[in-house]
Amino acid sequence: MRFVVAVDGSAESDRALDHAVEMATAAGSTLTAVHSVDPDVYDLGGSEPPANSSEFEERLVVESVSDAETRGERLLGDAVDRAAEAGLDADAELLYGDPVETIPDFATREGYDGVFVGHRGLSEEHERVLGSVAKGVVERSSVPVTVVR
Amino acid sequence: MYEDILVPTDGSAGASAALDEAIDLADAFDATVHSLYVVDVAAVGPDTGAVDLAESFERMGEEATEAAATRARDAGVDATRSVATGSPHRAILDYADDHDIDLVVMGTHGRTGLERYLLGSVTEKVVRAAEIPVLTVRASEEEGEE
Repeated sequence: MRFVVAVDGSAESDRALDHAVEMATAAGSTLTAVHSVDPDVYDLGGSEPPANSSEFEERLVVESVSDAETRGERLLGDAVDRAAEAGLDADAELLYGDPVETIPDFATREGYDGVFVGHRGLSEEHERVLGSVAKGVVERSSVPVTVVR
Repeated sequence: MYEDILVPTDGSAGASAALDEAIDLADAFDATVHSLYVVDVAAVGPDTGAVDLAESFERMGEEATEAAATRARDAGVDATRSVATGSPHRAILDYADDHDIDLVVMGTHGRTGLERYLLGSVTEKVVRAAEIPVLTVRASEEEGEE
């Protein structure tokens, strides 16, 4: 068996990782940590929406891909270290794009047997606004997905 | 690591795929499979004649859980079954609490078209609210479209 775990550095993702490590160890499976490079967009402020396109460009700052890449590589390194501390030799794979699409696609294409993702336990109202990677992965994945709180 | 695995069933292809996955895991971890059917009170409704409807749902639940438990036992796995009444996601979460369930395994909808993006409202609510891991399994093509 071969498992994938999605990591983003959150507490939920750490719990999903710990759970995946336990499962992989118990089942004698391999584990691949994945992170999808999806640059963040920052709003520099102001309580009103941007009035025109030039204001829009001044206010919204897109994180550079290389910064997002460096962050992703660090997160994957941390995940591999954390698995190693628990006695599992995990590998890692950096993906590019919206995690809701890249993670299920990767798992299906590479023929993995299961995916582990953390979930924050947002309320329905919050989730409608923020979206949920876990929910998106569950909806799109043809591979079984374990959602860990 | 998993001792008690809950598989809610509604007789659908998704639930059947979930059961197969649960049996595999229970076999690997020497765990017990708990098959649960929930008679949805909202679906039954308060109208006259509802008693008969509730009874027929309950009978359906007995049959579905019995079939699931038999499939698990045939695979050499310990199994127990139960029929509850209430709102499905609530009843599933309550059962998980009451029976120290380690993992809930549930089906999601079909593979193609719009259904591909519909999680199933009960599965979605359980994923959202459960404190324990929830394993979601999509019905495979061989098991047919819903």
